Amino acid sequence: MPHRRAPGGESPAQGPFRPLSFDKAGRFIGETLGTFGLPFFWPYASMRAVAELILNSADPVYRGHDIRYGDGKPVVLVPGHLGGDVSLAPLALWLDGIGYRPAKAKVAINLDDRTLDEPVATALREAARRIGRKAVIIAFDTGVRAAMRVAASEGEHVSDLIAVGLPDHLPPIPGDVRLHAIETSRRVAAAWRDDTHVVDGARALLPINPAALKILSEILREIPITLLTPRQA
Amino acid sequence: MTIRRAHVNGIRLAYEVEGSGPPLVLIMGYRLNSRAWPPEFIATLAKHFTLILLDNRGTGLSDKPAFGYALSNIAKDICGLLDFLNIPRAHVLGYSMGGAVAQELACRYPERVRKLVLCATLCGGPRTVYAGPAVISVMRSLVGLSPREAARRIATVTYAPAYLEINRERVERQMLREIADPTPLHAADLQFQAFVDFDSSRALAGLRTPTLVLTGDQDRLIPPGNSKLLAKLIPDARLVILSGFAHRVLWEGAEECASLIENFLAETQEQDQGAHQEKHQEAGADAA
Repeated sequence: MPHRRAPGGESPAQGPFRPLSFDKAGRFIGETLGTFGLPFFWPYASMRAVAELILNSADPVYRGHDIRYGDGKPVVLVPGHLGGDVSLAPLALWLDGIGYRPAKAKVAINLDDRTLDEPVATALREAARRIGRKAVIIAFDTGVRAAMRVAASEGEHVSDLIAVGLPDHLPPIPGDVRLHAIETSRRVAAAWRDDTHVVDGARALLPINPAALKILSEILREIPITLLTPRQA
Repeated sequence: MTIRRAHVNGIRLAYEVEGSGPPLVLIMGYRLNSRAWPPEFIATLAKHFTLILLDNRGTGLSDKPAFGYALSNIAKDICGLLDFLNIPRAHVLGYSMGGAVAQELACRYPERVRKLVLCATLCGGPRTVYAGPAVISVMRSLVGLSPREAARRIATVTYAPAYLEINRERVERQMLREIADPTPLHAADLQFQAFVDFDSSRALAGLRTPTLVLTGDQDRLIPPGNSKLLAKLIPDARLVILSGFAHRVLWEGAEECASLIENFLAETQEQDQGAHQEKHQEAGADAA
């Protein structure tokens, strides 16, 4: 009997002793290098990130200053490469504070975005049904791919997708979901749209970049509420 | 009372008319509809005024769209209702978020507002005195609760503990009236958002409408500091802080509040009539 193929095109795992896949390892290394650059630059990038963290630590955006209040819409957060629910916890707290209802995708760590489709789809359905409105997905770098696949198949539960940090090799853009993008100035060439919002700073710190947060709040604020129909709920 | 509907500002607005006398529009607060007004308060005022009780956009039997909840737009709804009822000018009383709508109405359409009564409300802006985090958390953590559970939860921060202790049955009856037509979550969220966005602090200095600012000294939701600020910003506003009452000051002290409001409106009416007569006399003297 043929295996059902996952949306990412990969066969599902076959028990705990699955042999090491060079394809998977190669993909993981490729994603890691694509996200964080060559290892040679990591000490420098880390120092820059620490400096950025210190410089931004007192930014009024974190306290919700000059941020327009939200309308309680459900927001599903999808982590980027090597990120997880924990790494997005500060963003979730901030979104909650400014009036949205963030939901975790229940991802411990994103090692391969092809494994995120199911938890993201489940989180999306639950969040949308709980609040009775279409949700917004905020996804980071490789998580954007999973978010786009889920948005394509769960169009009745999602109205908008906000991509923060764009990965290479994107799946087809879902037709009935509005897309917004935020990218760092160093990677803006990777943007697939002209209306991508550009911010300065380290890519790995995008989930807590004050400029990105401010833009995020403006995008969220402009998204109208779409109520679920009784059939969808 | 018969609930009627008027097509105004693109929606159907439910309203009731009760009593006789000069028109007095009552604007209800966050999440509540016109059935929530305390009956004894309404009965007292209805003896002297034609009360216009309306369900704000998103509440009661009014339409509940997913847009248009900016308080300036709700003020426009009410202006449309006054047009529909052929009332050129009316006294306006706003409670809590309704007080913010009343400020929008008075600032944007001063010619429509005769006298203004602001109960347990705020003006927004940087000088607002916000509720403590514990109170805000109660107001925001209502997802998944039934309307009854949500109302019970909200009651713990809107009524004074002493009042709640003695009047459990009364509060329960009131709650049942309030949740008969529950406000959907999206409307409550959009009302809350609009209330957070609201800022009349700069516009109030230009307000020339005689105003009574009323609050309870135990209000934890909209602390009395906000009423003091309102009274400071509105020229010649009168401030009354009632001791022992919380955010539900109109329910806890229904008769006392009704009497205060009635006296204020009657007194200013007399002053108005006096001023009118003076003006007529002056005009007569000029003509002579």
